[in-house]
Amino acid sequence: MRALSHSFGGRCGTRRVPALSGASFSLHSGINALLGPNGAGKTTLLRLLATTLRVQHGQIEIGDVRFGAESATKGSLGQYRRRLGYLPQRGGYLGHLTCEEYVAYVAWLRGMPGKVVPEAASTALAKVGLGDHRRTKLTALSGGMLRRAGIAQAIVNQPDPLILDEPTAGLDPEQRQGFYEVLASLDPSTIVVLSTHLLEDVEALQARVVVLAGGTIRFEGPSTELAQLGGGTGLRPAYIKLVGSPPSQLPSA
Amino acid sequence: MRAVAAWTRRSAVVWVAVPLVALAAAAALASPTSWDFSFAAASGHIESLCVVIAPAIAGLVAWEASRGRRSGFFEVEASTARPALLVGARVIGVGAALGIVVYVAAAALVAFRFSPYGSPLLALIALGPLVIVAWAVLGYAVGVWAPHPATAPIVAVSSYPFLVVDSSHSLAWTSLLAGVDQGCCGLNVAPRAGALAGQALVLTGLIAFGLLLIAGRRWQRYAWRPGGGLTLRSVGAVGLVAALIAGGIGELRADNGTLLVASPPPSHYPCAQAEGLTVCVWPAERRQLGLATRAALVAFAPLQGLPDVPSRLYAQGLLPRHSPGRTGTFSLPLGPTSVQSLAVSMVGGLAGAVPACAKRLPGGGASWPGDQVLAELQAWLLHQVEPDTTVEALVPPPAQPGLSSLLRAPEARQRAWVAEALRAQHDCSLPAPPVP
Repeated sequence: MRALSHSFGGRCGTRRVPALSGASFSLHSGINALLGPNGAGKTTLLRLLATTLRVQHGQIEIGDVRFGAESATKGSLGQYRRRLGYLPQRGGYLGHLTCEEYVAYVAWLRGMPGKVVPEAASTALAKVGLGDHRRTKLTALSGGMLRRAGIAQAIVNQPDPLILDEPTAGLDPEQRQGFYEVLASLDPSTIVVLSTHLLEDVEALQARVVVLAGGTIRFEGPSTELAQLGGGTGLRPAYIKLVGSPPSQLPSA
Repeated sequence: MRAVAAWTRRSAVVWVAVPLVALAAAAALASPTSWDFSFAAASGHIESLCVVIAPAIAGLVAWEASRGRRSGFFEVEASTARPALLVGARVIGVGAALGIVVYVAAAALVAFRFSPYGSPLLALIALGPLVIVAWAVLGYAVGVWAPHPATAPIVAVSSYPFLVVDSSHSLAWTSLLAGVDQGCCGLNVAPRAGALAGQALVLTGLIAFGLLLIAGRRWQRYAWRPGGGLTLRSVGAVGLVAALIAGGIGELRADNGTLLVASPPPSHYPCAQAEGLTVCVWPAERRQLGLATRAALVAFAPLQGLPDVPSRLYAQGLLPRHSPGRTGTFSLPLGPTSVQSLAVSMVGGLAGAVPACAKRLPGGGASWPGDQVLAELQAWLLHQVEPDTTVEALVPPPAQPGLSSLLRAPEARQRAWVAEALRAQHDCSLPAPPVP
């Protein structure tokens, strides 16, 4: 990603609020965790990657696809969207569908052939521990189960890249552990980009870290390198040093 | 297909289908008091069923379009490979399919009632599905742009008066803009082909406009390409919509906006010939042409050679100003009829009309010399068609002996008397010939 800038507002005399300012960094195979406080630009960055926001400035190149504001799109955006898996921060559910119908519908939207959709949906639901709730309507699920259904739709097409916006929000420690296992079961060459407030997620996943604050990149590198930045006493001091405020805490289990 | 099936099962289609079927059935079975009792007029009624069906479908589709967006699912959908129009096509397709099935079923109900009464105007009926698709697309577009819980009921409730008000507008061409022609049609009145084409163009333009709005929703928030390409595509699409609607309005406004015109000249009407007789009917009566021809043969073949017996027969109202040969008209009942009863009606039309030269009587009657033998003449004509009928009972008692005597006379003598009597029905200077 090169020199990505994005701002909201500015129409009809409203104030223009910058969300990203010239962010440049590289994504690697495996898990890439975006860390940062609220308003750092994590969701904006993920939405740009998920192609649900137009790139205003800068350029994104991922695999054989390149798109951006100043350059013409290279490769097939349609193919990229077929490979993509995306869990937005909020919403994204169709309450009137069952878990199986919902995941199957997203699989269809991703362009999966109709023949493989039912099995793919069942597999994805089983991976997130909702195999017994295939016929349960989304409106009948708890918050944590709903989040898992969202993760199931995001992984139904064996995505690459997989983009997850705060996937562990609302999950209890056990469910979070299950989520880590889901990520561990993915092909190691898959590019996973997730945002989180929780340093525990980063430690558990041994992720490559990108720290964002105020729309700019403050750090990019392995989590071990980030820990060293704080004097080798863990991620927390390094994070405070980079961002200026402590990260969110895990809720006590 | 599984996704479509799941969507159909979980959508509001089932909830809308039941009341919609009931509404459409009630509309289809409505009393035909306000229309001409013919299949042609019923065709207009079939097409106007869209006033009931289209708003319900528009509301249904608006609901389906908006609830996904209210839940934030649009964020996921926008990141997927399926084009917005394809995603919309599934929802629109399910809704429009329901509307068309109900429309066809209601049309079949009306057709069943009116099939004995002429032929349908298929081109007009075929506009119905286009109206339903157009309103489904527009309903989806509104649902996409205004995903509020109140959107669907507002779309459904506001569409109904719009269709009713527009279709009953006093200005002919504007009344057809929504694609519903409430005032149409009759035996001798059918929509101009250009008007139908104009309506189809306007509806296609509305569909294109709706599709543009649907695609534009993603373009607006999620477009990729830098402005140039998008602008070019947008301008092209808007231009296409404008051209379709302008073309349709142009067609509707042709002929000074007179949309309902009499059918083409009688020379264009379906005619049949048999044994020197030509029989012509209205286009809507095409199916009854064979029956009318057989009746004409029964009625007039035995009478050929007599004065005023027509060689060309036209259904009511069709008589051309200049037609070769002797011409006559007959009344073709719109309801079920038989060759025999039609033949009786045809020969009855040969005598009985008051001639222009008749002397008008105070109280509304008329008198002319020939009317003194009118009863005998009518009875003799009826006897030619129905020899087994005791025609003596049809004339006043004083005339019965004379009629019996006439029927016993040699055929040549009978025909000579009938010829004179027929002439006396039109020429007031001729006396009534004495019955042989």
